[in-house]
Amino acid sequence: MTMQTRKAASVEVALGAASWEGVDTNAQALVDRWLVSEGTHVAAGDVLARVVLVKATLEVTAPAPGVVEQILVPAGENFSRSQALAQLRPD
Amino acid sequence: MLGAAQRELRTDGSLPVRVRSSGGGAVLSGPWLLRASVVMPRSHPLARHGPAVAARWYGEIHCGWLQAQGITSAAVYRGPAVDHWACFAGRVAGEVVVGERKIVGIAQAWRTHTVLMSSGTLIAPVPWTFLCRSLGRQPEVASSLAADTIDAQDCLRQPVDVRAWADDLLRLLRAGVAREME
Repeated sequence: MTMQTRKAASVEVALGAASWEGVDTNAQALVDRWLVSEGTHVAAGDVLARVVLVKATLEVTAPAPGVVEQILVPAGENFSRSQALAQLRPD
Repeated sequence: MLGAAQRELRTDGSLPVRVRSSGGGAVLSGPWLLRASVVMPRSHPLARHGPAVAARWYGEIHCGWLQAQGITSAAVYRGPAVDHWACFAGRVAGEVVVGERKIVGIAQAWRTHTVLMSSGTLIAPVPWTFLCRSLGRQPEVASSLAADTIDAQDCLRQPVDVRAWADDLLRLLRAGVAREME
């Protein structure tokens, strides 16, 4: 899981760099399903989404407690390395 | 057996359907498929580098196992990844091929505390028509699947002693997991 400042009060949720290690540069992952919706309050470590990369299902977890502000990649859509999946407003 | 992201796929009800927790495409289970799974904690050294690296490790063990059984041309697929609704028509690095034809498929499920690695090895000819019919695919797709894959019996021109092969694979997997802990 990685966190990058997007706005002063928000963090981006993305699939961590370790998950992409050894994966083709141009490969994409798929958001299989979101387990939360926008507005859901989550604790640090809560599983927010399940994604599929190189035939592996992986969990995307909350980097901090807060509220899921915006889902940026809906279920069923692909995403690239370093692309943010959601925006979280920390408590 | 469908991959985790295939749960919405419609089937005709002719075969029992199970959705597995790992990714990848549809697999037709039966006596033609030898399945193996390893579950390890996320703290295991093999879980440090992500699924692509783990798949290569898993594939190397399967490749060595098949070579020891006499399939000397078995090789680990190096890429690129190819998506397909049927597991054995797709490719990811780490899976095992004989020439251009796939013989071992690999799928994984990474959870908060555990990593599940699963493989399926084609041991005997697969009735691909059953899979295609169940998922509403054209009959000619079955021929394409047969051309994209190969089974151990076909490689060796004789039936396989599945029990002995399974015992050997289990021994190699146990040794491989333990070796990574050293």
